[in-house]
Amino acid sequence: MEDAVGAVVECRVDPTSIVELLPVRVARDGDTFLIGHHRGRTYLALTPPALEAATLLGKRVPVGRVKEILAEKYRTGEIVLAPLLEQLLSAGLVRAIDGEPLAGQPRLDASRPPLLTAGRVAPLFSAPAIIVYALIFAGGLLALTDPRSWPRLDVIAAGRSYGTLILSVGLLLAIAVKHEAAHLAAARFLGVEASWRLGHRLWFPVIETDLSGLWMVEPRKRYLAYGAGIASDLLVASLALMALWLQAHSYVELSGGGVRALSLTVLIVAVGVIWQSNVFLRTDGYYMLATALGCRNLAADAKAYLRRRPDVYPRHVRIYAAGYLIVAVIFGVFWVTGVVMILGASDAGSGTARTALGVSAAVLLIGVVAERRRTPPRFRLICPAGLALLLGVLLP
Amino acid sequence: MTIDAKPVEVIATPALTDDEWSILVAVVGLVAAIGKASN
Repeated sequence: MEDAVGAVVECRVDPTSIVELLPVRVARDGDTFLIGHHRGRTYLALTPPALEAATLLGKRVPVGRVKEILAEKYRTGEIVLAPLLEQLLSAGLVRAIDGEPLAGQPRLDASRPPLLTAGRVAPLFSAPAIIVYALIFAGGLLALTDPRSWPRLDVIAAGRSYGTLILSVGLLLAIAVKHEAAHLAAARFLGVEASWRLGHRLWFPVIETDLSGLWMVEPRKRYLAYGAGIASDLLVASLALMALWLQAHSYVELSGGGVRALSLTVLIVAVGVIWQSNVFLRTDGYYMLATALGCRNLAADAKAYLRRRPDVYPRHVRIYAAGYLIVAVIFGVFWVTGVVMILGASDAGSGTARTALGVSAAVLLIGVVAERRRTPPRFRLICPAGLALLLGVLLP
Repeated sequence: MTIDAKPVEVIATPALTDDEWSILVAVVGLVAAIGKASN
């Protein structure tokens, strides 16, 4: 059986088997129940009979007896339990069968207590803190109304290109880590287990925060964790804008490097917030939209709809799928145009451009390695070959 | 009666997605262009 992340879990279950589950958490979501464990691979949506079956299994009731109990309760001839067992296995929620631990299942080793506990992050979400944030936002907005406090592109351009490059990458990484830390802190504040992990999108390595535990809190509370990243970005940008305003009005004297860093911070945050609003990628905006629509699998449902076009999907999924298709086509056209422009660039051999392309290629290479384990064989050949071709064309 | 379950979406907010890597590459390109112009 192939699970959501491509692992194969093999096991035999008979009526006398005892299926040991991880200590899962349960939350009601409309007419279904959500169960899961942070160390598991995914959370599951269960109907009430499925929850009863899982509860009985959790009490170490043999599979055959679980079937008998449910058949008696629901007055039905036969209970088919295999689909539920397969999903529990795939989700990584089965610890052992008949006392035999399963290979490839998540382990519940004792781990260090987290640095960000609910108690430690609580002050960040207290009423006084919210008031301070509101004042900083207001200050940033006021500064934004004065063009003299806007990011200074002339100062950015005046710096040494290598220095500006290092500064840009450093700021981008710092802002990204801070963004994820805000998600993590908000989740911990809500009492949800969350963690950082190294993942990847296509061939690109990514640092991501696993917030799947948010399924265990009511939908309106999830917005806090989704919005915390962007809110923290805007907070930083507001502080930078206020500092630029103070500089512009000679209340403080900043060096060229300081103005450059502040200007880059505002620009990076502005571009990042716009991107996070793209609901057709798995951004913060996407998860907020999915929560607002009450979808537990919005992107997957939309893609399934585009592949098969069944009428079972609700209207909002079909509308989202249409938007997804349009945006994908537009992005595809831009991407091809960009690649053609890069390949045709006459200055691709200049020193800075070579460095930039080298950095990009290194990033791509890391991503290829990260992706390799899950990539179909033909792509394992195409990716390095494409990279080699790209380097051969661009580098002298 | 078939007892089944449906997986729900993994909620993972990536810090450096392909789009953010694109921003990084765009910033690199911008700096390269600035460097080219200043030389």
